[in-house]
This record gives sequence, structure tokens and C-alpha cells, in this order.
Amino acid sequence: MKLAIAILANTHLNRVAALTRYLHAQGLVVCVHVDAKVDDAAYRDLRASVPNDVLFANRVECGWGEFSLVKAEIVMCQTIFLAHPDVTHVQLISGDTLPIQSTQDLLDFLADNPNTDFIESFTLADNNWIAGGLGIERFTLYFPFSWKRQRLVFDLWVSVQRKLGFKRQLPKGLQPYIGSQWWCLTRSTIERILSDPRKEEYDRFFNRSWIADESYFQSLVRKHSAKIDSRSLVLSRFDHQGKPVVFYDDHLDTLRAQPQFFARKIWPGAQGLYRGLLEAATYVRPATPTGQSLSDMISKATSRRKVGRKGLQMQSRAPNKWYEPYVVTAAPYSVHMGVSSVFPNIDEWLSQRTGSTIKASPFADCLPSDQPPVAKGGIVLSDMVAGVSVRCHLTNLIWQYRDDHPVFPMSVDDGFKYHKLIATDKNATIYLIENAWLLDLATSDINNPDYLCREAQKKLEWEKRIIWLYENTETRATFIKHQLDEVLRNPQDILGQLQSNIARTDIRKLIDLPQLQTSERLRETIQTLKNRGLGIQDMLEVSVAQPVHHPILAKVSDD
Amino acid sequence: MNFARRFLAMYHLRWQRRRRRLRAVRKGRQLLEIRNRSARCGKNDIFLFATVHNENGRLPYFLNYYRNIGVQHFFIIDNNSDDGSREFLLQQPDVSIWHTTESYKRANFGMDWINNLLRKYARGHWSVVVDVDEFLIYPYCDTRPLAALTDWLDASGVQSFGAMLLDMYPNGPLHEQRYFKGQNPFEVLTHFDAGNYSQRLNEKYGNLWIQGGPRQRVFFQSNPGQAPALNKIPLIKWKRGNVFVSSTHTLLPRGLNKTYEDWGGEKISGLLLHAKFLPDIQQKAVRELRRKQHYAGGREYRAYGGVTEGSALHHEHSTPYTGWRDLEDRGLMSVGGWV
Repeated sequence: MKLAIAILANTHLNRVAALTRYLHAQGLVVCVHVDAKVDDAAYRDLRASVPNDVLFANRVECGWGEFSLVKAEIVMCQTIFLAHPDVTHVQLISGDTLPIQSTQDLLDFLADNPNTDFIESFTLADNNWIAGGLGIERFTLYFPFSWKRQRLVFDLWVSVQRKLGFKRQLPKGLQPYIGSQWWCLTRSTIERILSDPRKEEYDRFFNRSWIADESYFQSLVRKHSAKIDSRSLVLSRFDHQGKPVVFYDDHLDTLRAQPQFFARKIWPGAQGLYRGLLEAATYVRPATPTGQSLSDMISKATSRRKVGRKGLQMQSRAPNKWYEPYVVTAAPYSVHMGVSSVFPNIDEWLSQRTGSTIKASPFADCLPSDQPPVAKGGIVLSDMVAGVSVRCHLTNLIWQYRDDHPVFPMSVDDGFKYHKLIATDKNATIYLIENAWLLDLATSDINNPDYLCREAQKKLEWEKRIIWLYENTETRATFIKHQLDEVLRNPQDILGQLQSNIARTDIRKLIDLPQLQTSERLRETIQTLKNRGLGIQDMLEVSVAQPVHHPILAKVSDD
Repeated sequence: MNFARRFLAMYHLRWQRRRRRLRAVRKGRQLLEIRNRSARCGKNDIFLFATVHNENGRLPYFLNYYRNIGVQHFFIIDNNSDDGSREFLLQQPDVSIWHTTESYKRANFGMDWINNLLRKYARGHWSVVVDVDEFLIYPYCDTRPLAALTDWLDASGVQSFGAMLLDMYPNGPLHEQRYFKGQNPFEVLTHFDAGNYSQRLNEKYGNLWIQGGPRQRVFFQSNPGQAPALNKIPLIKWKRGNVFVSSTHTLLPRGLNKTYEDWGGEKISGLLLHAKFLPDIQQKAVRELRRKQHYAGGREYRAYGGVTEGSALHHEHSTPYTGWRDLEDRGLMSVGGWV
């Protein structure tokens, strides 16, 4: 068994020379084809820098995806067979390929699989292979224009042919297959392909097809091979745009863990890869794969580029109003309105359970002289800073707290535009205790009934508007409303809801109830306001008349 | 009607671009070539363009940083330094220097000069355009040189690379820090704000206008809309006809400003670590105010003038800088589709 390596090269000939020297030193037959477009001086330099018995095939001018590449491959095979009649296998690689396993492993592998052709060869029905390209039309249309250089004309010509219904006949008995260009074929298979009596006809056909280098051998091998193993020994991955994934120094561990024997395409400047893979004395394959899995890396990059991180607004992700007609945040969150009026220590109580409460309203009205609190990420909780871009303010806040269900207080007198924004967010759950502001007024030291009344009127109006807003059919947020009297009578009901809404772990026990705001003056305040004509709903007397003493309760518990 | 308005806007930008380019030619006459070593540059070399005014303390680290990531040649405009910056630059083998005593402000804050050099020397080259206190980081910058990025951008058909300015600050009062010449400024400026950046689309130029960070949080809290812009495009493959409009925030033609994705995905982006808040900020603010050469009447420097003994940018949620991966995880920059 004797293996020959055929290298298709067109740029960075110094890297090709290093690769050639390495493979030659491993005792392999090496044949290099350099694109005829490369200038002669560089070609001569390459020949001078590799050992004398490295073969050089006659140069063909190659174009990307054109039949000339197949021609170059055929020339290389002929050159190899002529010089080395004892060669049994030919492995085709590109100039930017590197071996990722030892040569001995490769030879052993080929010896273990005698008479097998390793070539990716899929029917066109296997659409996974084609990333954003033409399918059967690769073979049924005409392609006189270069896709790389004359993209516009190329696309135009394709659509014209589609309109006019062009359809080229496939050679009789030939079914097209496609697959990676980088095959490893046995000598007998190649010879049978090259001596096929209908070769002329096939060549003519593929000459007019698109990306012949990925279909010529892939199709003909089906006619001539004794045994096909439909995979490539060269690792070659593509990203979502159909662009080959390029490997760099930091991929070294990942590459070594791959099952293939070669990898492309290597960035020409990846000094570490060239050193690590060509100069290292022996390969030590790690027993367990180290480094990230290649597929994970590619799918992560693809999802970053195509979908992005939900709820993130940043310098290179700015979804427009058609993509995100409503505000989109990163995680569910709760908004409390009036809760802290009833339970003044609710923050501490909640943070014992989640550790994620934001103590102040992110949209709180701030005077220029105030020092508003700063939340995670350096977000200033003030309406002035929020005003620069309300939407960003909210998405930033939720993004920063995305891992722990954030809770923040708002009040009915926070600006209506903020409520309007939150109302469109699916992730928001709003808990409102209606009329809770009455408790604030009752506990404040306002003694002037006129002023009290004005304040109450304002709050009442704002609250009405907000309830109207959140109960609107277009609202996407979850809105949960409680009555003050109910809450005062039965505080564990709402507390249980708040807790089960935010708890990440299974907290069922409702013990240590937070302190309840009590006010002797509440009833009196309500009466005052009512007497002045404010339409406040009838509050139940019981809860307000006496200060509430709640026992420590164990609500529902599994044990 | 809509179409006509759009057409007019396009036409307006076209004229603006021409005007800017003409202006660059005119203002270019103010530059005196002191040493031009650009002739020995290769055709794939990466260039850097900057304007310098008394930055002797920062230059050594600056040059070394960019040399390390793979910038091959520096084009520096010395705006009348008198602290030895020019002498230092003359000793560097990979620096070409121009000198001018003219007004920085009247040259559109140096951009006319830079535009002029770009147009003369940068055509077809990837070029970094930064200030001396800005340090570019990009995905995989710890393992891959800048050329790996530019090759990938070339292969993806991308011509401009966005990098937001990330203000770095010390973990304590500003004046208590010590910084010596040549030191890595991020040994002193260790922290940053992880997520208080708000962005709006600028319809006219098609770029995102980003504000936030510690400068807005501390100095512009009562008028946050006036905080300095943080969006920048510091890396660009220069083509004939390109022109920077205002600092490196805005480019023309307009398409170059679209370094973001608006259909959900993320484009690749980096960050410019901003070493503005070194211990000399207060003196610098006084000096720069006297020089009267800064944007909006030096509004920003007036604010820093208020930096007093003991004032700190640090707060309880400040994040320490640990490398680009952490910044990527936090959503400040993105690897885009780069594997």
C-alpha cells in the first residue's frame, strides 16, 4: 500500500512548501498543482524550497467552482501514476490543509479498509449539504459567468434561464451526486474513471455544470467504485453563509480531537497551528476530547449571527421595529405597585427568597440634586437617565438581572409612558394593590385636608388610567390586581403569589411574614376623603378597624 | 413624496461627502511632513492613524499595544506637542510623522487631517483610527492577530468594524492612583460599567448613537442626553471616496455605519478600552479647557474640572476587566458569526 497526496495550491506558497516538506518527510508521495495564475517567480521559489522528488503537475488556470479544478485534479493523478506505478491511494487536499493525526494512523486506517474509496457522495435530495446554493439546477442550467467575479450577471442569467425554462439533458444513465471536494480514492477507481469510454461526454457535461469539483468524482465514483465510504478524511466545515470555517491557533486542541486525518482551512497566519501540527515530534491524542466541541462552536457562532441574544440591545444588535414591534426583554420579571405601601419591608423579605430585588423604581422621578441609586451594570435608577431611551433602559435592566427573576417597585405616579412600555412586554407580571396609596397618605403627616384631598384625587386618577392601560386588550403583560381591603384582611394570599412567582427553587412554606403597614388613621382618612366627595370604594371595616396581628403561618407544605 | 425625500437626503449626503473630502485636501496643507517611512509598507499591511497632543506618557504603551496585535505602520499627526512626544516618535522605526501648529478644533477636531492622510496612504488597507487613549479589543484578540480579523472580514465582504468606547476607571478615588510612563493603563483602570448603555438610531447617517457608561452616570446625570457619544468605527478598509464626518462616530458613505444587525442577529463587534481616567485627568481637564480645542466648548472637560479630591467613578456594581470573553458574555461586544 502506498499513499500519494495531491495538493491543490493557489496562494501562500510558503505554507504549501512547509506542508509539502512535512508530508514528504513522512515518506509519502507528494504532488503539487499550482494554479497557472500564480506568477512564475513564486512558483520557482516553491519548487526550489521542496525536495527534488516532489512531483509538480502541469499547471492549469483554475477558477473557483469551475471544471478547470477537476482538470487539475486529473493532471495530478496522471502525474502521480506515471512517476510511481506502485501508488495505491490518492488523497486530495488543498494548500491550506494541515494533517491533524499522525501519518502512521492514516496509513493504518487505509490498510484496515482495503479497496475503499473515501469520498462524500450524496444525492441532491440530501439538502443538508448545500448551504444556500443551487440544487439540481447546478446541472440543468448553463453557467458561462463566474460567480466570484460576475455575481450580478451570474444571478441574472440564472433567473433568465429559469424563466425561459432552460433544461440541459443529463448524460444517459448518470445520476449526479455531490459532496466535499477532498476525497481519498484508490488507484483502481481513479483509473477506471479516467479510462471510461464515455469520459468525453461526461467531461463535456460537467464542464458546463456549476461547482464541478464537488460533483465530478462524486458522481462518477458511483459507477466505478467497488466500495464507497461516503465521508471525507479532510475536516472541512462551513458556516451559515456557506463560507468555509477558518481555523486559528486557539483551535489546536479542538482539531486534534477530530476523527478526520486532515483539516482545512487553516488561516495562513496561524503560526501556532503550523508549528503545533507540522513540527511537533509526536502526536499525543488526548484520551478525552479537550477544548470545546467544534459543532458547538459553530452553532454558537451561527446563532449569535442569525438570532442574537434575546432581549439584548447592544452596539451590533439593534432589532428594528418590524423585527421587534414590542419591547422584548431577556427574562421574566415582576413589577410591584403599592406592595411596599402595605408591606414596608417587602424588599428584604423578597431578597431572602431570591436575592434579586431592585430596591427603587427604575423610572423614579429625580431632582437634579438627588443621588439616585445605581443598579447592576451601572444603571442609574432615575427617570432622567431613562429618558434618553426608555426602551434601552428597561431592556438593559432586565438583561443585567436576567439570571434571577428581577422584581422592582413602581408607583402609580411614575410616568405613563413607562407603564405603556411595560404593558407591551410579555415578560412582565404586574401586581397592583388598588388604593394602596391610601395607606401612604394615612401614615404621612399631612394634616391639611385640602392638600390631602388634592393628592388623593391625583393618585386616584393616575391609578384609574393605569388600570385602564393594563386591562386593555392590547396589553401583553400579565396584570394581577388586588384590593387593599382584601390584602389587609388576608395578606398571605398575595404574599404567596408574589413568592411563587419569583421563587426559583421550590419554596412552599410561607413563614416569617413581612411586617404589615398598619394605620389607625386609615379609616379616618378614607372617611375624610369620602366626605369631600372622592369616589373611593367602600372599604371593609374589619380589617382597618383593628391593627392586624397575623400569626406565623405555614401555608401549604409538602411535608 | 417619500421617495423624493429619500432621494434628496441621499443627494445631500453625497454633497456633504464631497465637501468633507475637499476640506480634507484643503486642511491637509496645514500638515508638515516630518518623517515619512510609509514607502516600505507591504500591500496587506494594517495601518494606524492618530493625532497627538502632549501624550508622551501614554505613547510608549500605545505603540507597543498596537504593534503586538499586528499594526505594521503608524501615521501620527503631532499637533504642536512640547513634552517630547515628537522626539520620542522620531525614534520609532515604524512611525511616520506630520506636524501642525494649526487649530485642532478648526480642523474638525483633527478629522480633516486624518481624512487627508487616509486618502493619501490608506487606500486598500485596513486602517485603525483611534486616539492615544483608546485600545482596540476584538473577539479572540488574545489568540489571534488583527490580520486574522481583517482577513475574515474581507472574506465576509465587510468593510467596517464597530467598537464601542468602554470607559475604564480605577477601583477607588481618581487622584489616589499612580501611573508611570509605559505602564499598562489597565493595571490602574481596572473596572467598567457593564450595562448602562442606551442607543438610538440616527436616521440621517444610519449609525447607532450610543450614550452611557460612567461619564453619563457621574458627570451628566442631570442632563444625560448631552453625555459623550460612545459609538465608534475604528477599523475600516479604506476606499477612495470614504470620509469620516465627526470623529470616528460617523462615516460616509452611509452604508459603512451599519455595523449592527437590525433583524435580530448580532454582527461582529469589539470595544475600545478608554484610558481617559488616568490620575492626571484633573490637570488635563484644566489644561484642555485653557486650550479651548474641544467639542461643544469643552463641555466634557468642564465636567471633569469638577473632579475633586476623593471623587470616584467606582460603585458597588462596578465590574472588573478580565478579558474579551467576559465582555462578550455580558453582551458588550459580539463574536458575530466568527468561529
